[in-house]
Amino acid sequence: MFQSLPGPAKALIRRFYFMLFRGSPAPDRLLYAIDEPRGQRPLRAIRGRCVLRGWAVLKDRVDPPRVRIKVNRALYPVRVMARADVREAFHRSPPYAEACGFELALQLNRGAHLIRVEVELHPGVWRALSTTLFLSLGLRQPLPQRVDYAAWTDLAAAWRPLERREFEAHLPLMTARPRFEVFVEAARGGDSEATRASLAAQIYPDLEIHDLAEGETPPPARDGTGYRMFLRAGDRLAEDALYAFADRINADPALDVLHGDEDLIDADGVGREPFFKPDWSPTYLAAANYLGRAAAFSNRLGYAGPADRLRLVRAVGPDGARVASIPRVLLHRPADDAEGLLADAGRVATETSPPPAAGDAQPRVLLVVRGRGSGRPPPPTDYPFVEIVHEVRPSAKTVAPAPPAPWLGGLADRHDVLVFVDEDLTGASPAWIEALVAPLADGAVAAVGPVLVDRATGMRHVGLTNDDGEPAPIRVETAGVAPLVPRNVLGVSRACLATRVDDFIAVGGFVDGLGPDLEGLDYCLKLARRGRLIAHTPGAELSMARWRAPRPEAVTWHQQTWPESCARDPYYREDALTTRPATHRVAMKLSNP
Amino acid sequence: MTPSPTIAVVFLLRWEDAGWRAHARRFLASYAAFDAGVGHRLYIALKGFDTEAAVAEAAVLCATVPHVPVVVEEAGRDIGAYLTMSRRIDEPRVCFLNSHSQILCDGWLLKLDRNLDAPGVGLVGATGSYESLHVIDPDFPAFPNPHLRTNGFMLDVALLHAITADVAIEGRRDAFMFESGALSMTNRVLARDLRVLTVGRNGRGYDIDWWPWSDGFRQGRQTNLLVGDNQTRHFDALQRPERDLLAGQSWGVYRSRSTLPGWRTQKRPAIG
Repeated sequence: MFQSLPGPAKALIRRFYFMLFRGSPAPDRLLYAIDEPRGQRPLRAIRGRCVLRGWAVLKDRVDPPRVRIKVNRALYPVRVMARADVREAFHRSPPYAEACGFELALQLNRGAHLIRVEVELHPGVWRALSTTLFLSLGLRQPLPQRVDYAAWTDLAAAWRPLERREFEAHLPLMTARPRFEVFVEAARGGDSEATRASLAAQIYPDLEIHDLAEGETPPPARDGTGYRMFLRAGDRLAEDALYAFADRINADPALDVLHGDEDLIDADGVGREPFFKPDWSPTYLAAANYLGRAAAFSNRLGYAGPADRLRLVRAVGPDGARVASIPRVLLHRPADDAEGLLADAGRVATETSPPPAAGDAQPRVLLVVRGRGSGRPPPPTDYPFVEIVHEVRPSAKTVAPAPPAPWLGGLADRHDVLVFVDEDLTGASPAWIEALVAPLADGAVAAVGPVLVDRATGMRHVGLTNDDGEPAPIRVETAGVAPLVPRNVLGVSRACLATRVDDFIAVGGFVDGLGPDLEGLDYCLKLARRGRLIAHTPGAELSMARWRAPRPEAVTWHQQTWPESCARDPYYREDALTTRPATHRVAMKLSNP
Repeated sequence: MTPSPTIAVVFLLRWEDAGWRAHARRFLASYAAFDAGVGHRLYIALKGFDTEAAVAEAAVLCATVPHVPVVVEEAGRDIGAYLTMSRRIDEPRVCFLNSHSQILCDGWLLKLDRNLDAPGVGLVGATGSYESLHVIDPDFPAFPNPHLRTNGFMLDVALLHAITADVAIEGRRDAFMFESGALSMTNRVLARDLRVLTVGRNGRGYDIDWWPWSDGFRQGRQTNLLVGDNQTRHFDALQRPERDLLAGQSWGVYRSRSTLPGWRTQKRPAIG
């Protein structure tokens, strides 16, 4: 409509617009450009999502100024971008820092949104560079349409013969031919013949099969070369599984862990209940053996099996550069192993969870019950070494470090572990504290959260993640083996959280005023910054009356405080059950340092 | 006595390009970091380096790796310089890399070479695309228009001479036509019943039907790229909406599992 107005009218509107929104022009010492959105149209119509991008430098400073973007009243930190072109264009000596670019992708709900790009000229003095009114025509970009698993596997079956020809043609061209040692552990009722047949049908032929008795530990690796896999009798490896691993190793011989998806297969050979795995997620792995059995481990790691997985987390590190996630179903478990798949997916307690310490070795727990001062008792527990204190939840919405709790000086000295629980939570099992503190037996784990069930919706929350730029609980659908769209786990909610006393003191405790989810996430990220691991455990399950989303102000505070955890981190495995693979970068941001 | 290498690697630098120094540093750092995997001779084509001072500056910059500098005239775009270079080298096989190239893995040249040795293969490259400029110039074939991108490719010199006997590169449009026009390099090789492959970091050669599934150019994380360039780096830096857009431009419906590979068997480029 604006374009169709006569010239003078457009000029008048522009003038009012700039008077209203732009304020005074930027000072001479500031050089900048807004690359996206281009032009100076005062109103832009978009469909839910928009990207803002540009650069800014100060003439008298090498370091670029800080930039922030204000959407209506909420502030968003931007992603800092390297802009070599800007530095080259100015030929300044000393040159401007290359990191003078900025970028932010926004999801906007339907309606009008005023978006202002601001730059910090002096500490605390912000100046608007551009202001644009966005008219969002649609809600968030819809998730890709998914087909059911049967249709998806039919498609895979149609591709398989075509792919097999291609894969076989690749074998003689490979520059590396890694050797795979496949350990097959006997299992009661397990069809070891089916496992052997699937290994014999592998496209990639360089493998050795070793049979193990039930419970037998595989021998240590002869040397640091090659890879090993741990199967159970009855498992059927997809014919392209070892090829898929070898293919990735050819692309990057430094890979230490490779894993693919799994499903259950019935007697007729029909697959169901797929478990689509996320990318490298140390927090998830600390809680459950999500890598499962469709995984190959380099002998460089000396990895001895699922019980060794916390050592694996530490050996691989946080960034997952040496881990490859292959988006294919590479292993079919027998249908009677549904419980095992659920356990590996973290939906039920695993057999490999650290056993509870006996007697005096169990940590002394101080149970801090937060509420409105009603003195309501906490969920019942049979844990023997527990003392209970009540704490009144602050009603103020101001975000500030929590004042030192009165119990911290006296009671906390006599305890090893603090367990925080909101008084409106109810527990399913009296062993919930025991399950919650068990992962803390490993010195690397600093905080543990349970599965939280939202009674209003039936959703199960298994930790917190970054949901398209905003922190949110990871919701597990009630049907199926695992979340269809698994995400990285960043932290756990304060609503119920176990942590060591010394860790709590070292990071200065919680911040108040953010709500339970973001207070817990802030605490976990502070621990993660110090090199500690966070875990959620499916062994403890508590339920809450209704989950409440964090306030927008709290989200903004979190985004400004932890921009690296909030940089838009789109749902991983968008390709699961779709016909089109994801095009976006799967960048798991801060999880554990 | 060490046999003389049979492969020439030609890296192009343009004096007119204001960023040529940065391009050279980036390429040479990657060339030094990753083993080619096979013996070769590196030529650095100095396009438009008309003065002794310019050549001397390039020599200092490129002194970190053994190479043979060759000055070529500025005219003729990148392709023109490649053709000039192909007449000045003795090796029977040549790999061309443009200014923006950045090697991304060990054994990169070996992987290209092995695939070029495969039966019926005439041309291999680091990236390919189905994109078409038809919407802005109807002389270009409509989508899908599979073509090997000329940022990095390898072929036998004899074949290059054979398919370029009638090629004259005078302007930008000629260069684009040679890359993705009806008489593109790709289509000229296909017309001789030879295969055109992109080669991934995994060493696998992808026939045209499989290009959309190679985890390479404008696909996912581009984790299987053998050689990167300015376009692949740009894609890496984008956010998801723009990545979706570019992926759609390059691959369209062929990036869907619903479309089985094999469409090209029904549709061959018509070259007389």
